[in-house]
Amino acid sequence: MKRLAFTPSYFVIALLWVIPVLIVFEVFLRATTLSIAVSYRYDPEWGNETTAGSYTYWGTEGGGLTEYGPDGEVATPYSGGANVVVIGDSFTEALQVDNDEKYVSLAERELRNRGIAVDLRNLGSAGSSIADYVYLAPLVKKRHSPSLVVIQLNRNDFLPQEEYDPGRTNHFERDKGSLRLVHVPEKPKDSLLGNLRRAVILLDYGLTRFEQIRAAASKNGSPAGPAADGEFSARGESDHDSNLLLLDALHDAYDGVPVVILPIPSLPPSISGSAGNEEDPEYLALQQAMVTKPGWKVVDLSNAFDPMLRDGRYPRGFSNSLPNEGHLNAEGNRVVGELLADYLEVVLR
Amino acid sequence: MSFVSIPFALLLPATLLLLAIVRPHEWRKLILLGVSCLFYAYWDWRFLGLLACVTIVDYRISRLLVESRSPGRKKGLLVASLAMNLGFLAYFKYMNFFIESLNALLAPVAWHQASLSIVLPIGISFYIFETISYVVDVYRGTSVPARSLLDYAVFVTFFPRLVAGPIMRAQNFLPQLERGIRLNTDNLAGGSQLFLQGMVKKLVVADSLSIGVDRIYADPYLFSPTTVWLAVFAYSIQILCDFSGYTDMAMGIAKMMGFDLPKNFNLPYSAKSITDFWQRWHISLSSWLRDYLYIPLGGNRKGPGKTYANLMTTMLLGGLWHGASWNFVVWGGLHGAYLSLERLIAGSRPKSEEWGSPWAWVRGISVFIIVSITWVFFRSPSTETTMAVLRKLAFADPAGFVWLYVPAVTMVPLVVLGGLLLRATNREIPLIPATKSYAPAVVTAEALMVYFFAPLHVSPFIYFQF
Repeated sequence: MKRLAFTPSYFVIALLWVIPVLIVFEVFLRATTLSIAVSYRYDPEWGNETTAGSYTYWGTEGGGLTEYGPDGEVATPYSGGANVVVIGDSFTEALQVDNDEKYVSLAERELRNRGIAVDLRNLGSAGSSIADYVYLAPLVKKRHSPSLVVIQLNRNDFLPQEEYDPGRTNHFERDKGSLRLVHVPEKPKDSLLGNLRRAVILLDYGLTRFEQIRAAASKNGSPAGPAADGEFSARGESDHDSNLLLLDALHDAYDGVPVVILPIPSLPPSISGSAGNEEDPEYLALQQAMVTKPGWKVVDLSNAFDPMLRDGRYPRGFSNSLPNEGHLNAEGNRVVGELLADYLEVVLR
Repeated sequence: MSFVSIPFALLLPATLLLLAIVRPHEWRKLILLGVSCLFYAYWDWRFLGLLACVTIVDYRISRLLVESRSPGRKKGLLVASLAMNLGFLAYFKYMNFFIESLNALLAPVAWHQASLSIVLPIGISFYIFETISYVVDVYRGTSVPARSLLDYAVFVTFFPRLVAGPIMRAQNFLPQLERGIRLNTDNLAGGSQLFLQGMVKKLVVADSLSIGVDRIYADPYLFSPTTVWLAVFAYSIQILCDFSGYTDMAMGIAKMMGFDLPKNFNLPYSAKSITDFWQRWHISLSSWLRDYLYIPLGGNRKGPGKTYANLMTTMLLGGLWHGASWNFVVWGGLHGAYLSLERLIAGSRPKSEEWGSPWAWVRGISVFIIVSITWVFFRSPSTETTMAVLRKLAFADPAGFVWLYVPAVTMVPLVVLGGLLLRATNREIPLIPATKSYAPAVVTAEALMVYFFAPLHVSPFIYFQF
């Protein structure tokens, strides 16, 4: 074999070969994995909001193209009519499916088909939790003057690491049997460096991967499969009384506005009905408590997925993630959208 | 210590650096021995004693074999060595299997023996086969014994291939050790490329597929027949990329130090017959079984009946070598039956069409399908799972979720057709010489593939359990 010659021209030509490789990876990642909204607007109260007309392509679980509307909302098909604000986490933002397939868009379309002029404002944001919804309450009332608020919850909203983590923008502190909301203002994302990072997905996703790999290594092996944004991660201990306080805080925050609660079931039973697929008893107990709250209407999704499961179709999971795990797929969103429309129709009529 | 771990990422460069600094050849051998022991002890230091025992005894026996003039004494020494090696293997790997099988057999007479608490020493099947081949070769006079105990210890413990092969013959390794450790840019560049190529196979292909395969094999009755077929094909690719990925990494690490390990895979899913498959799959094991079991049993020299018996014995024991479980025996037995059937129909030299003929492609794909179905016995954790998977494959249970897992849908045809195309055009995946200016681009592409597309959870290498 010829000895390697480290001449300057070798390095120049080698670099010229590496550049196309980087370009190919940038394009491939954007086409298959992730293509994020580049531009953000910073509002001192709302924090970072995606600007209108920007897009995100999410391909690590499912594959959805999400278009954002004004005020950081996820765009829905219609505007005008009664203002209904939908707040929630990644199940509501639903990056895994296209805009038209998200349950909020489907509910809006269904209500329009039933002759109800309604404008559903999708404020879903991945990683949000009850502390965020409580913080947002006065801002939502001020900006949107909603005739109705839909709050989507899931089991993770009642995990200590979601609600009491001091590292989160909004979190609670326990204070002698009550809860105190703490708000730590977000750092603006609209900096030149931030925009540059998001413009090169190889860089942005590369840094995200680094964090993921570091976290997996420190845990000595993370669970396999896509964990898009921490949804349905390991369950922590949470006591019932603290969870009731969380519900009280949420109830007090939206006092005076009709509220529809949408609790996403954490584990839809599989067709086998095998042990281990039962819903978490604490989450069931909390759903019972939600029903008793004055002014709240709770959507019952407990048996909503049964027909499709019996047909051999599952509401969660995609062809690039584990079946019946993770976020709602297009079919799951359709079921939730239709059921939500039924509940909203009753309230709005 | 796995090749895909942070401790190994520290150990490898430290070893190379140490070898670069220390010049005397004997010192370098000592470093290699020390690093290999450290590598092995990271799993369980207690089994270093077993490794030392096998090494010292077999080395001593090899010296005595050379010194001895009496054929009877030589035979006695060989038997002693075989008894020790196979005894260790039988005790550590098969004792509980024998007890459980005996329990099942004697259950009607209410005989029961409790299982023993035995931990399987990692890599025992590999290094025991290497030491056996060494002693047998010295006995036969086809190989000279190692010059020193240190040389032989470096051969047995050589860390790149200590725990999962390739199974190497001393006559191939010792001359390389004698020639010296050769650290240079070419070896480092070539070795790094092989190592990265192995990482892509293991982390990007095998581990991505394992997520889907594990899910379906956990509950095969939940999924549709199409989905289970996909999982069966995906497992074929997973095990190939897992094991050949490990082999590439082992070869890459060895190459960085100037050693060439034997080729273990040669596009096995491009085989046009089962005989052809076994000349391309886990070559170091199949050639070991041929040379030290099939041929000594008589091979094909004692008539058709004995030939079929020898084929079946070899493949059954080959199956059992993989693990102490009846599913491996069935897997080996099926391959023995295929080989016998092939021999019965086509004779000792199966007809092999040229790749221009569509029949060659039909045969290639048929062999892949047969081999894939046979892997079901290898992969299934229980007889119930095996039966559930086979029922799905036969469309006897058509209900279930349709889940077309993207990595499986994309990688199965890519690997199978890619392999067939490479074979048809008589090509191999080339190693790019470091002198080529596009070599860094290839390395960058491989590194980015691993970084961006490997699942966060690294599965253990499948062959580590053997």
